[in-house]
Amino acid sequence: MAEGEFALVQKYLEIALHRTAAWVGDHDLYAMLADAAAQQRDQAALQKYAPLAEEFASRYDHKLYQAIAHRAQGMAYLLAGEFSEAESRLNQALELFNSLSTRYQIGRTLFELGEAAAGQSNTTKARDHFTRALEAFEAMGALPDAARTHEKMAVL
Amino acid sequence: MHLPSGTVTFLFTDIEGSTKLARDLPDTWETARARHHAILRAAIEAHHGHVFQIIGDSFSAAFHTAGDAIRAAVQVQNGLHHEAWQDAVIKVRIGIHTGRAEIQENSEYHGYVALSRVQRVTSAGHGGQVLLSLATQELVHDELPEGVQLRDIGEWQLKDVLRPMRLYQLLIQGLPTDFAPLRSTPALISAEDTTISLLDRIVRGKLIGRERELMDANLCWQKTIAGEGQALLISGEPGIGKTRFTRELMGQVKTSGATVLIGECYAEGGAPYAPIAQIIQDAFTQNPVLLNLLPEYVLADILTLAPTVRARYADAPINQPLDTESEQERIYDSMLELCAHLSLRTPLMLFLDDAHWADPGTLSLLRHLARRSRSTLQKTRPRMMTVLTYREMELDEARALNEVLLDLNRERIATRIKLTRLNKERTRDMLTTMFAEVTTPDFLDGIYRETEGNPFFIEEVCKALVESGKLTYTDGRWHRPSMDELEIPQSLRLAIQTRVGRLPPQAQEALTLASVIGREFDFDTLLHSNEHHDEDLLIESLEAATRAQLIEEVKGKDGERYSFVHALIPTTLYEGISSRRRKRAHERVARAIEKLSPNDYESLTYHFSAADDSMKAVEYARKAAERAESLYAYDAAIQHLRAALDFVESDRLELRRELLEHLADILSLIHEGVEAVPLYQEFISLLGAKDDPTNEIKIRLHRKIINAISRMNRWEDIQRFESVLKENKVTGLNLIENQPPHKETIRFLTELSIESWLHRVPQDWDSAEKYARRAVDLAEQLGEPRQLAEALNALSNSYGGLGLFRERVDLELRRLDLIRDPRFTDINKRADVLNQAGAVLVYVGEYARAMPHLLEAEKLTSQTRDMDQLLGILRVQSHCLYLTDQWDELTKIEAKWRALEKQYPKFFKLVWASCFQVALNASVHARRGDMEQAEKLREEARNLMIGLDGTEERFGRDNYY
Repeated sequence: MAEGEFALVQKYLEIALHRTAAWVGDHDLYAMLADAAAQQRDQAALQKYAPLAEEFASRYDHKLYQAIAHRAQGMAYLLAGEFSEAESRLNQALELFNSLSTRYQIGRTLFELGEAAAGQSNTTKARDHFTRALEAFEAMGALPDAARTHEKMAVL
Repeated sequence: MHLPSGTVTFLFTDIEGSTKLARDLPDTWETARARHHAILRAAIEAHHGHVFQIIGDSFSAAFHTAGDAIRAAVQVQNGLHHEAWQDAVIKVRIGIHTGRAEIQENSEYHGYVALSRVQRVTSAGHGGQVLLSLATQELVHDELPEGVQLRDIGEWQLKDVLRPMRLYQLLIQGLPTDFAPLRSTPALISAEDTTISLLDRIVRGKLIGRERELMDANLCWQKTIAGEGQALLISGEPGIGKTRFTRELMGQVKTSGATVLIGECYAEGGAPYAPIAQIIQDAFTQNPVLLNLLPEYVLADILTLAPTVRARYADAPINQPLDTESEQERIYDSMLELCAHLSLRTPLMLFLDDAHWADPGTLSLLRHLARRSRSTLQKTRPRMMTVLTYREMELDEARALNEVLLDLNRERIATRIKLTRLNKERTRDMLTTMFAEVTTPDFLDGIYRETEGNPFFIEEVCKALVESGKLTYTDGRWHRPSMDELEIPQSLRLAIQTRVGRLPPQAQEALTLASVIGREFDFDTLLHSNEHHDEDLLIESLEAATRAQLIEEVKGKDGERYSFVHALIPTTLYEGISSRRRKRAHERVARAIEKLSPNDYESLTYHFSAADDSMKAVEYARKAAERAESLYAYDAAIQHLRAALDFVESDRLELRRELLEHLADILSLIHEGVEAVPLYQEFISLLGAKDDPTNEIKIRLHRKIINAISRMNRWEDIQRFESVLKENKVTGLNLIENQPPHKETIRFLTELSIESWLHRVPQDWDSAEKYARRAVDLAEQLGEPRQLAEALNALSNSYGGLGLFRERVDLELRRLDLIRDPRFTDINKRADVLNQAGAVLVYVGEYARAMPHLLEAEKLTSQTRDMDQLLGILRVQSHCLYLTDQWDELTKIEAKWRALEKQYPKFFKLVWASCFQVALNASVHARRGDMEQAEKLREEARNLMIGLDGTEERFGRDNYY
């Protein structure tokens, strides 16, 4: 999905919140809203949706959504420059994604960890995260993410 | 085998009266039949002919030369004539025609015109007779075998052949040469020919004054050929020529090589989908290889609609039953697939005659076909035109037809052609054509004044005048007295009565009795209904009526069947019978049908009802209702049960209660709770204390009332019945409190749980849980696994509403254990539970645990072919795979639904499911950097969804992808 369209996604998801459906629950919607906000790097939306996503995911012990919520929380910290909290949350997310073997999500989380390390000028750590993210993206054939990671590594 | 191709001479045969022979002489028939086959095969092969088809006892052979065909025909007739038959003497009619035909890849002939003509030539003859077309005659007249001559028997208007055909009869030395007039209409009779009756001199069947309407109809046909399905509605008053007009159109489209299938409807009704069954039977007769060409599941459904065809194929497959709606949908789609198949090579025309008498099921199916053949969402649209004829004046009575017509008009699917009366000029044209001479102005005035241009009336009046001796034919022209002396019958009824009155008394009696049977009747039923039971006398009577052109023999159907040439003839005769005689006649007919066709419940209901035999009428109405229900023809089932209720005597309380409950159950099933509830209430009012000591019946009925109300389609109805609902809940709860628990108690509580949230605003999930919990406890206590499974389902739903998703997983897994018990044989139900277990696991992110259940559900659903279910399962699988980053696996699901799309050439739900899949694939493409493809797929998914939902505003929660 093109990056610029996450706003549109968010719009539809917010409409969806006011509708009822048997097979789409609020936990699904908040997880997606939080993730859409993360992809847009929208700090306000992250602050709004990430806690709700976390609350709903925990309520149902939904591992994938818990991981998504952790990552969204981590990015909220990241955007606020609170790197240590960001890394903590991102690592929690990574651990859950690893347990689920969701390789693309692992790549995305490693990328954000690389961002957190780079934000703290820890280029070695950042390179390590980016390299592992790149491996995941390349294994999945996720070319735009791989290209984005290459760019980040180039400027380290 | 090297079949001739190019210019081919075809020889077709048909045994005269084979059904009767087989029935009357069961012991010797098979031997005689085998001998017949041997004689024919030997003769054909001896003269280099090739037998390419044998249908029943009719041979179809092809020859390289016309001379060989003639020699084979001579040998056949000689062989059969001189055979020492025991008691089953076999006589065959033979038709020979030469025309163009090519062999196709499947070794069948392509050359409809030639094949249909030889068929018609054959049908026109009599046993022992050989008929040749002009085309064949020209090839052989100079080289006839010794002892063989040709007789020119004139031009004949053969059925469904556009132009008259000149025919020749082979005169074979030593064999009979004189036969009755051909079983067809002479096109033009020579002045010298005195063997023809005066009635036959009237040229009938020519379409007059319908050029513009025919052009409009042809325009629709051209669109059909171009791939745009059409529905053509032909209306007009009785006798206006709707059937005649359509037959002209059929003749034209058949000549262009199209397939035409006909279903007829009758005033006296019939089995649900009877006209569709006739269409299917017609399709299989015209194309016997269909059996091998159709997918098994399609065949199974089609044969469900046509039980008489199924009887021919003992090994035909049977599909797994589904829930009502899915089953009906699948059967309708299978019929669509049959039409698509039939229209692969040449376009298809389905003709439903007298649709105002059609059963609701037939009309609903035809509407489905008409819609789908037009729908742009349909992947493989059949090239098909549906033609319906109906009487406008009957529309007030024909509710089902009215609804279908409104739908077709609203959706702009149909083209309407209204046939009006002929004006004076056209009436003159018709008279000129009929009498093959100029019509005098005073005769025209007289006829037009009385008939007002109704073609059937004109024809009947003229026939009445001929039969009464007022119109005579001498010296090559028609004569009549002055107009004052002519006495033209002043009504159609009078014209028909006059004509029937000219028949011998026993023929009049036979026809009157036949009118009680209906528009179409078979010889045996008429014979057994006849008090005199004299076969020879009846044969003579029917021959007289046939000569008088009041009835005609129906070809291509089982048994010896006849039809009145127009529906108005039996109506007129029937109306002329006194009510007391009518009752007696119906009773005789009913007894005859009961003996000859004991499974014809619909006719038996009709005749016993008309005979005022309430016991029998109720008995057969119930059976007819059960059959209709098994075919999902609920309107017909309701109609039968209502009739049964009208007949059941007031003192037969138990039977009345059974009928009330059965009727109410069906009404409730189709969401007509408004009508169902009073019937259940009446049932309760008829229950005495002794009838229901444990209150089990009352509790069941209270449950059914609650069920009927909570499933009503209209919100205002639900509100209107709110107090009834409450009253039944309270009464039911009081009853279960005061009785030891039983199965009905569990069912009642389960129903209360569902009612607590279904259509409730706001939903009362706490009550739903409370009742379901109680139901579960009781089911466990009583050890009732089926009721426990239902109660667990209700509890699971309430947990879903309360947001207890993890707890819900436990319940569904428990339910899964229950349905794995071998006593649960319902595969569809098992698949449903597996799917639900998978879905609730997905809900809480347990993807790895969900997938095995979903795969098992998919496997079971592939057996039941429940498209709804299968698409739902694939959708949940896709969701699972997408969220767990299994992109390659996800594309495999895409392959599955694309295969389904090919297999089921339809349908909105598939579009819906594919929309979801397309959207997920778009996302995967985007993630892989193929933005162009992603954009394309995303747009496709969006358009599909908006196209289905109507507006972008509805692109909401369900459609978040």
